[in-house]
Amino acid sequence: MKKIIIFLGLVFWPLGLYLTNQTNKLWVYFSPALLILASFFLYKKKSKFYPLPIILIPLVDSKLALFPVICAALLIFTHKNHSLKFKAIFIFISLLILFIVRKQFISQSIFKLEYESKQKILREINLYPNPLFARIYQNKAKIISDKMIGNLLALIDPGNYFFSFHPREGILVNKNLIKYPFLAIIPFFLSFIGIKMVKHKRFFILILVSGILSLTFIEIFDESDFILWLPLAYFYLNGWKKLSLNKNKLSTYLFYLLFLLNSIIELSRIFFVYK
Amino acid sequence: MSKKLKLTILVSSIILAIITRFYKLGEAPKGLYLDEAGQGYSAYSILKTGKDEFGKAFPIVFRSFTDFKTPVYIYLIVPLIPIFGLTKFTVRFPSFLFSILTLPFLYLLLKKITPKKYKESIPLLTIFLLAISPWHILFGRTNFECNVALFFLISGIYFFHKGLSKPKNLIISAILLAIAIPSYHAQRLVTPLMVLILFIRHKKNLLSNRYLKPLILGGVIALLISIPTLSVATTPGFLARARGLNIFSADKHTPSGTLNQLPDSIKPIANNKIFLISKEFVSLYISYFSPRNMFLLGDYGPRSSFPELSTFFIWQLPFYLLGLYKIIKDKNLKELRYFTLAMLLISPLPAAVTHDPYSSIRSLQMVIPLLIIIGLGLISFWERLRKKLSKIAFLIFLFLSIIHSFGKLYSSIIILNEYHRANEWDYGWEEVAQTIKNLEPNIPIIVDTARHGPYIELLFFLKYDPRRFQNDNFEVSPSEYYTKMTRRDNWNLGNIKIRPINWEYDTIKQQYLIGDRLAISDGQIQEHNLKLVKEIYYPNGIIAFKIVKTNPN
Repeated sequence: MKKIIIFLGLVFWPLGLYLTNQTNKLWVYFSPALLILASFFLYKKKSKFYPLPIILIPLVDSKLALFPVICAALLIFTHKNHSLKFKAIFIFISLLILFIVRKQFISQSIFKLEYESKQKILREINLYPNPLFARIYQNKAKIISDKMIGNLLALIDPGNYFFSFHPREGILVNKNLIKYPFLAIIPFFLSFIGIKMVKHKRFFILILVSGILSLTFIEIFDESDFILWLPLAYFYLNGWKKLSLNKNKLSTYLFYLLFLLNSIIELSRIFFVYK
Repeated sequence: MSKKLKLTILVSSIILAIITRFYKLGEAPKGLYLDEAGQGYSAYSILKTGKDEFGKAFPIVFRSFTDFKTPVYIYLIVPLIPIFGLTKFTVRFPSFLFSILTLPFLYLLLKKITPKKYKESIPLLTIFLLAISPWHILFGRTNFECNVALFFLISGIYFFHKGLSKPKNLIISAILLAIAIPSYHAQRLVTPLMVLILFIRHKKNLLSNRYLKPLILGGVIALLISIPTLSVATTPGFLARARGLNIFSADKHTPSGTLNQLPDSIKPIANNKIFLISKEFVSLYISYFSPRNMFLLGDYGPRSSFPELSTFFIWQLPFYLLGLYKIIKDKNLKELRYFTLAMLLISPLPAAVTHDPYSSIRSLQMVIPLLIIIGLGLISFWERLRKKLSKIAFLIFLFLSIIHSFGKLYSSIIILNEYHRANEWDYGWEEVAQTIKNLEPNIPIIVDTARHGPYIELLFFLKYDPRRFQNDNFEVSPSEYYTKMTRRDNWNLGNIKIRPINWEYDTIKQQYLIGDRLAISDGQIQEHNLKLVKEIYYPNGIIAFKIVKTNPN
């Protein structure tokens, strides 16, 4: 039963993505996740070439051009055992690829300012008693920082992953895909609380943080956020592992049962929601 | 930390709290929302006649539009009217006063429950954070009952903890907690649960001989205070709010997420009500812990938020996450940890059973544990800084963030809110009332009711004689006050009739017509040859109201 439950939890996000996209677009969203998986296998085998698949990601989805750059930058501080030469090559190639795809990236990023946002700022400025005060609270940089903060907070919002944001929140620019059954929040919580015990946590935290930060710079991160599927799935699996260690077997089995029933209902709904 | 420094920080925090809440109190927001006007006029009516505007003597819950209001706030306004008059300032003053009074009691409570290591830092930091909290400031400047209720809850819990060493204080605690319950709807759930949790935590002490006598006495007094509330607890009026809003009343609302156009065979599974309602409840509950709601979106309600200002400042986010980790992990925090986690987990419950996502009014009590957590995060971060230079850099960052936060408060509350949300605060009625006073007294006035309930605004700003209103506008007998839920749809205030304008009949005799820009359009003015007496504008230049005179000839 446990294996079925775990599978049910893992299948929601890819299934939603599959049902809402045409095949040619699917490739763009699935392949970065596959490249991260390849990178993980190399990391697990202690190969020093493990960042190589990560570097290739922007060539598949230019929106994710910052992902390897951030990954390389974080690596400098987090993986002190890697040589300086290794880090320098990683960051150099990442920046080179960012330079190559820069035009496609900027056109899809938060740095592209819309006319109406700029006009709004100009209108608001007139409301303030003095120009300095107005400039501090109403300026063009605010348009970018607001979008950035909005994206970052959406990406760390549990509601995004377990409730498609709020149930009554309208689907606007995002598809608000159903990513996990809502009861999966419990294994996730357990996993993050006991993060010190998680195996290969360095790699997955690196991917998770780089993923979240790079998605923060995208105008619409929806669907490209599938790069988070693998690290999140890993934490999800660890949460179940932790849950199965619970000494009170009855409550654990009851939770399994409840999770199974809920997941079946939610899964049945996915087919009709995305029909 | 020296005593002098502690006192300076405490007093400065309180002064800051007073400045942020008292500055332009009664002037910003410039409008007066109809609920505020309703509470003010109910208090005025009680003061003048001993009855509310419906003729009910000293109600236990106050009839108000389509629901009922808790009584404590309204009775607190009554003695203020002879001092300040019936003004916007008066109806908002209890919110201000009790939001300030919450600070010293919270300080004393935290002093009692914080372990020695943080005994000075946590209480002072939390008080400071509360003083500049956008969430607490919003409800300290406007007429909302939740802030008064929070004061009674916090002071009650403080006296409870004081009672653990001096049992007589348990009586004061019982009185304050008993007042908290009828102070605001959400406290009907939060206060009893907090009392239960505190009792479970300290039951060994409380059930010993030393505490039993004051505990029983306190319980009896609390029961006596609660008797009026309990006597109407099963009436439709008392339950109106809870029934109308809660997600479990599936007979009234279709559960969120219900899918239409499903095959009949799949409907019972995919649209299973237990599943949908429980998912919505968990989602609503979790939304109160979401950084996205706390630091960016805030409350979606235009009167329970200010533009571009959430419930917390964005610079507090990393300290919230750090503090949350610390409060969950660090068992050495003992009573502080227990209180914070208990209040954190209980506080969103009344809000999570209602449909609105992230209702900051119903969950206001949550501001306390969240600020404790942010304070804890700040201290934890400070403790991790080893080098002097990084400590100085952190202090500079904090100083600049706080300065920026003050500017943000001014920008949102005083500038943007007035400009963008004046209509949400029912701006314009004060000027309408002033204009009415100057109109020819022998010509009747029709005030249109198409979009809002203007009668209460006019009653408030005209300071209309409550006795006369009660006599001319019978709506419900005192015996049916809590049970009859129907309403009248027109009102008479002397020569002012408040009802929808009838364009066929109202233009054939000479009278004044008052309505918003949709009720009296330019086309109607032309078509009926009306004379424009006055236009009243919102601060953003859009017409709020038009006052016209008919021209039957």
